[in-house]
Amino acid sequence: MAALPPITSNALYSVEINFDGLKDFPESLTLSLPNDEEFTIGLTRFLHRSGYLFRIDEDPPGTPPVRPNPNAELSDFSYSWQGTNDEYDVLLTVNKGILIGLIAGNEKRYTIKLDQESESTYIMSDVRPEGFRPMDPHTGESEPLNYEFNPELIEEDSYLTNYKTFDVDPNSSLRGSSNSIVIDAMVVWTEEARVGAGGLVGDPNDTNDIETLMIESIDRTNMALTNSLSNTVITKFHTAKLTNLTVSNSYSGAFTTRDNFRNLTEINDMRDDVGADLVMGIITDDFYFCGIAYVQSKPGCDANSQGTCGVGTLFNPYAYALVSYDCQIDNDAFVHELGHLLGGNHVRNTTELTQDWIDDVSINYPYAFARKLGSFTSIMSADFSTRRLNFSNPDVTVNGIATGVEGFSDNHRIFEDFSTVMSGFRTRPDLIFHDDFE
Amino acid sequence: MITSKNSLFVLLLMIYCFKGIAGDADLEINIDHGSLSNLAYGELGTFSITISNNGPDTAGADAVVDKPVIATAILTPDVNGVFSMSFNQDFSISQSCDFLVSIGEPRPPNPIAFAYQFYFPPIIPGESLTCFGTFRVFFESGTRSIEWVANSLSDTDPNSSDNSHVMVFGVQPIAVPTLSFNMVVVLILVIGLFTKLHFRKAIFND
Repeated sequence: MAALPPITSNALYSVEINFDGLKDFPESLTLSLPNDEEFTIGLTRFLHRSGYLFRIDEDPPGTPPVRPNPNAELSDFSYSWQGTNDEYDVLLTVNKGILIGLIAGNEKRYTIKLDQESESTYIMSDVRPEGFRPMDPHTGESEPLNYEFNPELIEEDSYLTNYKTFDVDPNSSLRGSSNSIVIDAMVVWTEEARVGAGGLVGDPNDTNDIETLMIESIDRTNMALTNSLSNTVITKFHTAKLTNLTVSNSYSGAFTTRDNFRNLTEINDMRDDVGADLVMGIITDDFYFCGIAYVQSKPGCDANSQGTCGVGTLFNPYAYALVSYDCQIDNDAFVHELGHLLGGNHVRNTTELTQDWIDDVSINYPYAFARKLGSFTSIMSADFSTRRLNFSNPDVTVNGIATGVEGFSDNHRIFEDFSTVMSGFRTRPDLIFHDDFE
Repeated sequence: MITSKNSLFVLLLMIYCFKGIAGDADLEINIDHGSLSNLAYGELGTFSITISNNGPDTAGADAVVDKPVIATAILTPDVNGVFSMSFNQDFSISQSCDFLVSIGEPRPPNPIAFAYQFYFPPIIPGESLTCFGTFRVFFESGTRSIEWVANSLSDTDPNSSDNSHVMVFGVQPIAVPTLSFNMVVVLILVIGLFTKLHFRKAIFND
């Protein structure tokens, strides 16, 4: 990657990607950033998904265990290059010749995506909160909100198309820790999200961009889980295009959209068929929120409690979230909302949670909160501007700062509490007889 | 001529056709609570939400999920960025509802929002279901309000005028102690003495 024009806040920069070099999983990358900043980061994990050859007995001595197929085109390769150090998290996911990149530092954040105009050059964004497109001003008044209903939602023929399954198992990487609790995800997307992610208008089969976005979202989730020493992982996820979800762009109608999404016959049937433990929907940017999710460790609940509380197995029918496609790359929205489903809470202060919420959750899950200290924020903080790819964990430090506090902010621990039960919300049919036992 | 096999087919076809067609269910929401007008900061209160189905169809009968009738309240922060109230399920009372809270993260720098939701099972025409909650208020003075709205995931409501109920919370202002007549006299004397000393000192300096 080479850069870059002069410094401006929220600027866009044209960057070059050396795909030939990247597919060879270099041991380190040197990145040039604005402000004449340059840094080198080492490889911590490389996921090789397609376009690679594996050593066989007939290969001559000295053949590496994994190598790029010299006969493959660049568009045949699918992989993820990941590096983490005190200063930066770097995630470069490539699928079918398309790259999505994240450079998340302690004070700065950059994302890389394909320029939708040229379809050949890449744009790096200097991401700041004020960089998002302006929304309607919100006054915060406690006036009653208008509410929209979409009762006519399920009427005509409605179905899921473009069904695909992606195996992104990070445990098959060249290096990196092994995560053992497998959550199976289903990710559905809408036509607006496909086009927004870079797909051609009018060509519903041009799904490379939306697929790359989904793969990158899962990669980013797994990288954050791994950075946080979590045992939880997403290995395989199932995707489909959703054609019958009416999305409201109003403040209050957004929650109705999520409820309707959860009630779609096709979604529920497919979730049963593929054995997905949770369901994520990637939708239009014409949606008030970046994302919406139920929170498993909500006030008043504990794992042994009240039959109507919605924790543990009772959360099964509520393991649904919606994400605007434009908020994942810059804002980690996919990772953040999935973290809520897993039980992660925001930072323990009244700008991110109600006082009641803090008091109540602190009784049963006092460690369920995110971490914010100095310039560092963990993924589950509502302040995204300087997030690193870490869920809070007191045993993990970033740049000398503990990402959590024992018994106080430890999203990693709440995930461990809930993941085992969540991983059994549905059973993947292909795993029923995985040991050949019938 | 319709054979028994054909009859079965027609019957199945009718069932299939009816399945998935939105019904009509006139939902009515009522909220019962004690006085909300003289609360103290942090005070805990209880309330109940009753959703009645005035028909003609069973509310939520055609829904996929088990608890498709919903009462929702959306909370946004005050101007100062603090949330002025919160809600929960009343766990001391056995009830048939699920209670879930979800968070909406708007595009920065807009604030987050919470949706408090009671999920009811289907309600047949002419019947009502009640669920129970608690609230707490976190503001110093004045009033705040929030609207609870009822809807069914699988039905059209022919009369939406009774689908919402606004709860208005009032916090009793903290009493400011007043000065007695004697204290006012003493205060005037002190100020007068201070002013006199100040002017004498200024003249002396000149």
